[in-house]
Amino acid sequence: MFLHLLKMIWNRKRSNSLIIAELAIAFIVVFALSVLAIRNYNLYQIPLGYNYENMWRIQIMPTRSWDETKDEDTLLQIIGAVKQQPEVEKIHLLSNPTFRNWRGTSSVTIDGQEIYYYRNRFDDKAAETFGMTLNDGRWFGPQDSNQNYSPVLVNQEFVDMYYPNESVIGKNIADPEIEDNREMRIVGVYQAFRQFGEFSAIVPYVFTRSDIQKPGRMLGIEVKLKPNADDSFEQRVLEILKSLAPENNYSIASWESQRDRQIRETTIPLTIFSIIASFLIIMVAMGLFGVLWQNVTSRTHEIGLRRALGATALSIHKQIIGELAIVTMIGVSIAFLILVQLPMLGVFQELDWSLFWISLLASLVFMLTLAGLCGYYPGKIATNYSPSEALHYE
Amino acid sequence: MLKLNNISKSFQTDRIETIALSNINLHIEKGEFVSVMGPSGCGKSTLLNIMGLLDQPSEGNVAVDDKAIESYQDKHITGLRNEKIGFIFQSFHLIHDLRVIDNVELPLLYRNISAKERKALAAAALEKVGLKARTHHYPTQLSGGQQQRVAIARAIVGKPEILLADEPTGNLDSHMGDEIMKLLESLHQEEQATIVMVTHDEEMAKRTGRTIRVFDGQLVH
Amino acid sequence: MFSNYIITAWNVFLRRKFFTFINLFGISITLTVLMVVSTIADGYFYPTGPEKNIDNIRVINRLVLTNDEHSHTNSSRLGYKFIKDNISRLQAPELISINSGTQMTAIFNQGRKSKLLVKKTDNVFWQVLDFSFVDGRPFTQNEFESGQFVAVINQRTQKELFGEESAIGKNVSFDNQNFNIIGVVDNVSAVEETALSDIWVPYTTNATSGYQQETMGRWDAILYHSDPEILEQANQEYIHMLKNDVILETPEKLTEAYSGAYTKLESLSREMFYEEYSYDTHEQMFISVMIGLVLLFMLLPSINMINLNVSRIMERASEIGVRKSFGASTKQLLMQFIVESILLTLIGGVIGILLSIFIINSIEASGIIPYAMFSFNFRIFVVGLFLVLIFGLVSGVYPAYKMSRLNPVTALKGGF
Repeated sequence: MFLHLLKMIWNRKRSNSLIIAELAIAFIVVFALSVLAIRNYNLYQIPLGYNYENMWRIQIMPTRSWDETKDEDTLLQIIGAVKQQPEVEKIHLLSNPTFRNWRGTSSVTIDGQEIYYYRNRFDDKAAETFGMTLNDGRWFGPQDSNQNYSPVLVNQEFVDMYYPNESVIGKNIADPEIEDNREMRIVGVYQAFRQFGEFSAIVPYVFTRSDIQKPGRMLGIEVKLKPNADDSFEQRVLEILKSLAPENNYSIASWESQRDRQIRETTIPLTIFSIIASFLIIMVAMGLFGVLWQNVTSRTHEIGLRRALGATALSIHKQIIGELAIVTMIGVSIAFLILVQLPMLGVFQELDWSLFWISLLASLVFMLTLAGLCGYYPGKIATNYSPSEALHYE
Repeated sequence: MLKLNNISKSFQTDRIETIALSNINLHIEKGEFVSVMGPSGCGKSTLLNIMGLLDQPSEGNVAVDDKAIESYQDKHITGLRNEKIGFIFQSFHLIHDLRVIDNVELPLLYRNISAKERKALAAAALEKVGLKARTHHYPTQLSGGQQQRVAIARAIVGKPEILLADEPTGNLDSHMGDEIMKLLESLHQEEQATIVMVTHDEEMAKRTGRTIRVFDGQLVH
Repeated sequence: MFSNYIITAWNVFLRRKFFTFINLFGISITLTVLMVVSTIADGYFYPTGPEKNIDNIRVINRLVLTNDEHSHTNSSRLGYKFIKDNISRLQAPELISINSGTQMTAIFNQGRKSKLLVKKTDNVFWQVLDFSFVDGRPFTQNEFESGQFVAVINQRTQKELFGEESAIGKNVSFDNQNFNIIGVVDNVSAVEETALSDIWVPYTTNATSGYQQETMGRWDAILYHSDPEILEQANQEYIHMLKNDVILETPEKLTEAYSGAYTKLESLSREMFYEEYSYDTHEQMFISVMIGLVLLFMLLPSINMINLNVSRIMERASEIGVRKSFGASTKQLLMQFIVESILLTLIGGVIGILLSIFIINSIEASGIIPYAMFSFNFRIFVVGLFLVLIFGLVSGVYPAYKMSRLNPVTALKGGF
């Protein structure tokens, strides 16, 4: 039966080739859509690793470059002033803010292995206030001050990626190329700190220590407010800061509002793409349906002949849907040959093999279902032809 | 008025060459009613297609009004088909998307005739075949006999010199077939129409002025 | 004859409603997407607000500084000092305006918070851009030079802070400074990035003068000339200056500078094909990529329509046979089918245009692009018509050509 159907398709290859091209492109669109949907859904399921409730960031925007001596004093004054506000529960330093795409990255080669990671800096008690989870070792503490090493915290991904099956506590990840480089000693492993929000990839991430007494160049202050804080806090703090250091600009925003903005910025383009892709797919489905319908009508004679030769209604129905399924599979195979280049050549870093296969399977199921739906009704029409009527029709 | 000189026609398929007609000489006079008979596959439809300039002979030539057809290029023969020849088919071949009147005026579309005049001529042709009442129906709303009468109206609307009918009663029951035959006979007698009709039916053939028998691609006398 | 093609086509559409619907759906949705994109692009490249004299201005808003080995590179907007030391020396432009990028600023008004954009500019800013004032006036050279606390605000700010009352003469306070409002302008669409802000004040009111020492920073320069040709010369002059006698004072001893006085198209394409150490903007490549994307997007609907039309015309093989028997020429049949597909695409085009107007209005109302006001103009109409015709021809001509050449005998048998 299968070979017979294949022969039928081959004999009508001219008209089938365009349908196959259409199905192949449609499959690529469906694949792109499922990759985006599956990837973002998976990422959204993974915990952020911190709490954003009642957290606010005061961003300092200097109008000139940082002055080692003067500006550290100003920063300490600012910290002191903010601390005194009645709404403030805790105050911390964090170099790169959450839910924004400000990033710092480093790359070192240690024992022949290239270690690439995102970095950030915070003070001793910040991890507890942010609600981060410690998997191994310890957080930063006063014992790290005035040592001949700089302590670092790494996330679980960092360990899984570079030192699987190994204890990393006490390991040195300083760049050996740089002279006068203090040892960067791993003192703890935390679960996660997904700085770029729910839809971001899981990346190796390293915290270095900032001393709130001696902060150095630091342009962000994180404040945990008591739950009842209102706009007047923002106004009051802005006025105080501007009078303390008028050469800077300041902005205050809650983590939650930044998160909302980031989710919106991620989902709007995705939504637009999904809507356009859905329309394309509806278009293809209707087109396929129309072509099949006409195909069946114009093949009345052949179908009548098959019926006269003893084909049952069911087998005719199977034939129509079977032909469509084969044509769909040919289209999908062509699309597969194109798509498989993506993970093979590593065009998109985010598209790994597991995501590729899952999306491929999802798209395949979708396309076959779509083909089945498009073929069902024309197939049913075909089975309704009685042999005599069909043969008479000419 | 229509002459076939030494016509042969063969079809080339993948491996074999099939000879459909060989060495046919035929002369149709003005005002004749000729029937063509023969078993299935003898080449009578091919003969009719060649007469109607729908098909090109492999050898020999066709002359219309003593003028031999020199070229079967589209621009040379479309005009001739349009003005000289009217077709009637076994399966009617009406255009389902068009109303009866629009089907009938079809040949006039390809001439320089105003829409008003076309409608008038089409209405007159419909009246001749007795279907004036059905002017604004769609073909599918009509019975087989009525559809064939619309097709006849379409064939005569352009006042062609010759009507070519390919088994015009083949898809109809005997009663309807008889009505169509009567219509053709009256066209022949009252309008002096020249008609060539392919048929399987001896009775029908007897009603025509001359019968040509085709067997295995050749004329049998 | 022509009216007959149209009547026949119309009959065919009505008799085959389902196929007409599928075709119209495909055409109109595809056109809608393309029209919405081109309307937004048109609004961006041909602004109708303060940047409507877009041909007379060039913006310098990006600077890359590096050392000889490219081992240390800074890339950001311009510093004030860099503009004063270098761009001010340009001979070609008639006017040069210096202004800061916008800053989102919290403004408190009777305990209520508004987040508004503030831009700091000079007085030349009002000459190089074509703002329309609904009330009051821009600040003068004198007010700018003497650092007076005056502000121009947009209508949204007026409404947010003062409701329906006139804002002129009232005060607006932020960053512990108090500004007297002297002018109100129309809201500026967010696609006009150079003009965009809610509040404009003189930069001479800055609390400190630290910014005057910065080579890299948050500043833009706008070059103006009444003759667009000379602006291109200004760009050449600027690049020549960067290559030969740029004045740089940076702690890292950076020596090479990359920047340019770009048109909007050039800026966009430079951002897309970012090359740090180059003056090239690759706008040819940018245009090709955009055309490629549009074609790629049109591919699926086109194939879909070709498929549909092939099977739709195949089904009409017997009609073609009849027409040929009664004397229709190949050319006439070709015309018939082309008229059918063009008429269908035209109807789809009208639906598409109506849909795009609806979507554009929704985008304007939704605030996704702040203050956006797009307009359908002649250019967009021509683009739309062009796309419709392309569609009609692509989807109609191939099947029509194929069918019109059928042999009448085979066509009558319904075969192909």
